Amino acid sequence: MSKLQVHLTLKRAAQELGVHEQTLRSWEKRGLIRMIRLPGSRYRRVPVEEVERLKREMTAPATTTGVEMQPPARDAASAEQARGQAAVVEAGLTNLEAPPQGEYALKARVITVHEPPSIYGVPFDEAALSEGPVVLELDGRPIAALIPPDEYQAFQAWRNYQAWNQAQLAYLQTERAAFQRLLPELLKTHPGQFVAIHDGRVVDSDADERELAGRVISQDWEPVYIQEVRAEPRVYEVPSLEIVRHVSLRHE
Amino acid sequence: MTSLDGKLDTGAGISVLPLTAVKVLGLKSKTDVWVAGYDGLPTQTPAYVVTVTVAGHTVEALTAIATPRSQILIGRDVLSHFVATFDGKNQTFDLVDP
Repeated sequence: MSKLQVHLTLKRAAQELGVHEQTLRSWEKRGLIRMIRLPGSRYRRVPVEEVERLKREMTAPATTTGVEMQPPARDAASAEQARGQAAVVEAGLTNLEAPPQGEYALKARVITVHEPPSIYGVPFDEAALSEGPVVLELDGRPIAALIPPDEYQAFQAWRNYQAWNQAQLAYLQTERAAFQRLLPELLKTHPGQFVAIHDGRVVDSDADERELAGRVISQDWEPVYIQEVRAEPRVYEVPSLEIVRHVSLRHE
Repeated sequence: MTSLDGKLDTGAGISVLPLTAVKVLGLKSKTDVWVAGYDGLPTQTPAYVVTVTVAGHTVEALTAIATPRSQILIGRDVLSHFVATFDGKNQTFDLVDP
């Protein structure tokens, strides 16, 4: 990427980051990336510094969550090792299914207030939380939100899940970028097929995803990225509420 | 091998694994897929390759996503290999490999 370039097209930024353009649009909606619109146009441009920032964040080790990436098990010894590593990961993450009482304070800054709440002019009691979050404002500016501990635990579980997903996506970053780079050519040579990318090149392909996946997992390719060759990614629907609403964790 | 409780979900286009199972099995993501939830907004999600056996029937090298839930959700990617008959009155189902 030339240092003289100040802004990139959406397509170029997606190639640099190894993600689909739709991902960048999604990130913009969620406030994860800053873009600009060309004057009098609907077209987006991505500042180079934003691309560089995201590259740094996407390749940074996930030390904040304690997630360690390890190759999958293939024999008894490595399976045992993987189980041990899984236990480490499990301990590193806040318990996703049923955080114990008080666990919510693990990563939170705890501020003990000794003065009567009236000093702060915060008319607050626990019952107010049943109606929704309580937002603390300072000089008209929201500075914090209070939510019940069980909702905070659910939020932590959701955030840890997001961190896990981001770590897994980052793990495939290099091969995904290669796939995006190769995609224009693959659309001509392998349309509608599934390809496996390793070390930046196609190492196998098949019209049947499971046939390809079966062969891929028997190899020592790590990381390896399997993807369908199509212009726009396929979108799978999983409309079950319990999948997408993290609060349902409390009821399972 | 890990045994799990599961639910059939004919509305799910892809099966969903418990995240703990993914971690215990030491699976690494092999691809990513776009998944749209009830709100229709697609999200890029890592996916894993597993072999699933349901009611004695095995589907090998299945691509599935994971979420922090305790049961496996059996989607149409598995069900499409079988004839599934649901008895709503008795809350049971039969799975037949034709």
